[in-house]
Amino acid sequence: MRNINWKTVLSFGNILKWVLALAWLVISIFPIYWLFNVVFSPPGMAASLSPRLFPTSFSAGITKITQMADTGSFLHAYVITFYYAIVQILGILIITSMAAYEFALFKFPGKDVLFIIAISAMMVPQAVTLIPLFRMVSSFHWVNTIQGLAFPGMASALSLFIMRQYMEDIPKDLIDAASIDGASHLGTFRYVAIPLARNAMFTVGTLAFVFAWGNYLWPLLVSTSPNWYPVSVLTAGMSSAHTYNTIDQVIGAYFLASIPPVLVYIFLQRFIINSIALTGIKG
Amino acid sequence: MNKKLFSVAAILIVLSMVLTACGSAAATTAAATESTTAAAPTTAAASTTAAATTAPASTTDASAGAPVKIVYWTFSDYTAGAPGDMMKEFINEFEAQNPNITVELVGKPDTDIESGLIAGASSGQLPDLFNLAYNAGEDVTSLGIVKDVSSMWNAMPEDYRQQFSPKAVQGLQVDDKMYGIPFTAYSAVLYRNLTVLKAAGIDPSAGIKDWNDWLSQMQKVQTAGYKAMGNYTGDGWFIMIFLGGIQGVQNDVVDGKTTITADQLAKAYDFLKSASPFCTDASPADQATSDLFTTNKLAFFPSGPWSDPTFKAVQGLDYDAVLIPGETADYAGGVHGGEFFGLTDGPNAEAAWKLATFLADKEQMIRFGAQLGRANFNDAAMSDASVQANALVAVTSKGASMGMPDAAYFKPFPLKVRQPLTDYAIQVVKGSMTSEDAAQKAIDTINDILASQ
Amino acid sequence: MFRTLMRKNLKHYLMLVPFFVFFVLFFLWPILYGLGMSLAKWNGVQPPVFVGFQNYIKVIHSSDFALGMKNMVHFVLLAIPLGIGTALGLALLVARFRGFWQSFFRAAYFLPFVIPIFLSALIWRWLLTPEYGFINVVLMKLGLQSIDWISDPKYMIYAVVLVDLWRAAGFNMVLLLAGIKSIPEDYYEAAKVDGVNPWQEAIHITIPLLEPILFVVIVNAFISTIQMFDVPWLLSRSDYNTQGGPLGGMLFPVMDIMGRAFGSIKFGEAAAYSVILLLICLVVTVLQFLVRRWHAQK
Repeated sequence: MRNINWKTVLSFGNILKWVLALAWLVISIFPIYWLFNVVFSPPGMAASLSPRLFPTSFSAGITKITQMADTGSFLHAYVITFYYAIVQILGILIITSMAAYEFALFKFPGKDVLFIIAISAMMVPQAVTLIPLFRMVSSFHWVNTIQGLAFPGMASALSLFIMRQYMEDIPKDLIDAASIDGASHLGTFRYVAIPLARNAMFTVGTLAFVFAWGNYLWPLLVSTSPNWYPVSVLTAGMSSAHTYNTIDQVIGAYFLASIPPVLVYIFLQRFIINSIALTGIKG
Repeated sequence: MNKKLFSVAAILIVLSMVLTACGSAAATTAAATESTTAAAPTTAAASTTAAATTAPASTTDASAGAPVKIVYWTFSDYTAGAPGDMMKEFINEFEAQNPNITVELVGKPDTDIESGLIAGASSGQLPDLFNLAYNAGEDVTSLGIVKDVSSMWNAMPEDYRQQFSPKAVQGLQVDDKMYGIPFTAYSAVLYRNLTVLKAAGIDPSAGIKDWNDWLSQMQKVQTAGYKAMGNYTGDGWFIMIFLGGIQGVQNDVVDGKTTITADQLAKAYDFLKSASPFCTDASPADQATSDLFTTNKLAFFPSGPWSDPTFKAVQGLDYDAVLIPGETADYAGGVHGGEFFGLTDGPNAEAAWKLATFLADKEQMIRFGAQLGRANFNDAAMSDASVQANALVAVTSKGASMGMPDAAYFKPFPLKVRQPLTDYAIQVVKGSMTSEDAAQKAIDTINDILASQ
Repeated sequence: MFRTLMRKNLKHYLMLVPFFVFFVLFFLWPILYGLGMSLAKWNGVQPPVFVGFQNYIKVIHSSDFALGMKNMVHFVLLAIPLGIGTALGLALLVARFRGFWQSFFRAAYFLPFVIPIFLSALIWRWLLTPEYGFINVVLMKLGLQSIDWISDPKYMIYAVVLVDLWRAAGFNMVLLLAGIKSIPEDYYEAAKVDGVNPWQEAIHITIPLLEPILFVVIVNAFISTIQMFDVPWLLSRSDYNTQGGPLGGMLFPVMDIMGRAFGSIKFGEAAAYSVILLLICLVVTVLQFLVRRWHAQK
């Protein structure tokens, strides 16, 4: 910091750069900041009026949040959602890493066709498969079960795509070396590929977590009993049109609903951003 | 490294399963279930074909003595907070009186009850008892999953059946069938911010005689520097609030066409257009409008009884709730509706019927009305002094006898017909169409929708 | 020969089995089922009635279909240039930072994408409220008129563009930034020798070399636009009975599909519409690939 080149720092280009960057920073963060201020303000205060430039009451905010958390159903929904997310993530990681391993590192007949079929799944809106999927799942007696919630989402095309991109980075020589050393196909996968794909696993895991947390339509059908409501279904129920909930309750609920994905993001953002970036390059 | 990962994962799974098991075993206060484990609701005979459904089943035998469990879906409003506590109290009392019956109470928002019934219909996952709005009744009865309870109804003692509002009972009767029993009711009311009115030089106790009087009051409010009302053109239900103020408006379907006439609709459009200079652009569905009301910047707020808790929560807000003024004096506007108990065809129908008739009975409905301020269709309960003492309930019950119902109950009446009401209202208020033209086109579009059923 | 082929490749296919079992069971089969549904009239309970292509005809002739398509095209024309332009601009901007600041801005700009979407929609509905929402308050202070973003059909599409841009700019920026960072320094150094300024640098070096990633971003943008659901659904307070707000200003195809399925309870129509959407998606994507190849050949 000693030899600051003031000419560069104060040059037009530099100032412009900072002005633009800060401007977009404000735009990006402002709505979130606004919500924060609304939550942390006295109850009964006009929620959407008057510029919410500062939080005005930390205690009121805490009260709103704890009021919602105290009802018990929120904590329960957290547990359910974590359970659902973790099971789904594990499933995704296992089956996509196995498939991605093949698509990334080996050649075999039909490889491209199979990959294209799997990826084209990304182009189909969820609405199409909802009802048939539900009929199938309920015929398996999987309504209000963890299988019903988590299994249908495990064949995630996007996760497969990301995993493959990462696995393509693994040096082929290592694979060949392992097989020369006598390792089985599965063994090479477990002991060579997986450790090297740690970044990919974290990324896919984090994205899958954010997705599972926000998934609404599917759990809505599968979880008919409140014992199985994930957070998304619970919060949506609080704010439908003719409910008797006050805005303070609703906003407390929404805030509670968004803490986990934001926390997960903050801790693991390194991985998500790195991975999406790398996906782009290879794509 | 991966061994560690797998064992961590395994521990996490086991941990979360344990937590879930603990969580589900201990009844939570809000969305409580009485006694079930997560894996319990399986169907006895779930068919995989697209054919007609079978009902849910936990245990079979509904006769007194054999233990029965009934699944009851109701609105999430009634399972949380004060209403939730009361509902649980009712259920405890019911179970005490009927020791062989256990009730699993499930709260869902109203749209989810309907979509849950639709989805459940095709897979055999149905509750034994449910609540639904009258205006959604036809949707589910047309699926063939609602039980015809006319024989059970007729078997009830005369004075039980007399408790209910005749219109509400009739609404549930189609041809020779009866699809449930009446439950709670709502009616739109006019909330007035008395601080604003007084500041504008209006005496609140004078009331509002008719639309002309209302418009002149709105003018006074604006002159004093306040806003009169929100923008009510954005949703068909809002428009019905005013449409219901015209005497003679019937919301019914005859020969596949609506009975609302273009003349009536044009009058409602004209009113909205006359009021618009005094109104803000924000819709009453927007948080801002409610905020304006609670910060003494807005005078009038027509809405349903569900807005009351918000206003009550604001300290120092001087407001009241009155009937929505009608077009002419001696009439009131507004839109009203209600909810009913429906049963599904299943082995537990007897037990479900017992629960429904218990909940809808006078004793319970009095408590519901008096303590929670919710109106209902049990006239005997509504006329009870303790219920009438609640100001909001008194107004809503009066409003329910005038105004218009929010749909043609139990007739093929897709709620999509509300869309043309608003689409053309906007054109009128903007000035791009005359009210007569717009009203005619709106009615035509509505009839088209009805025809394409 | 087949046997040796199988023996050699069996281990590969075996590794693919878990994924494809789930894929076929929970994805492919429901799609085929949906295809079948699209040829029948079905309300979910009573036995379906085969009606051939009637659903497709009904859907295509309905005014809501035209409206949904119009909104979608309108949105594409606005959001894709604006969105990708913004993301590109941001990427170029953030690339000029180094180390901590680069990571900071990168992370901060991505945050909107992580916030649960119902929350974003709620806040934006407040910010966009006519007259009293923050955005309109600012507009009025600047001497402009308040805009009714939420219920004026003329402006509703812009609200969707705005919220979608706010959400997705960071996501696309990250993709592009990675591409920029992978461009070898030599190009820039050669340009510096020639005395090129930052603007020229961007236009003549960075952007052309970014083409592969730009392509991915654009294709992805089209696909997610065609499937757009959450933002307009929540902003317009749609429900199964009425979608898209006043005069359907925010009506998008997937919203219409949901309305037909769970509102009107016409699963056949909903399925037919979905198939149509899928075809549009395929055509658009294939076209983009073809255009790219044709461009590359020039």
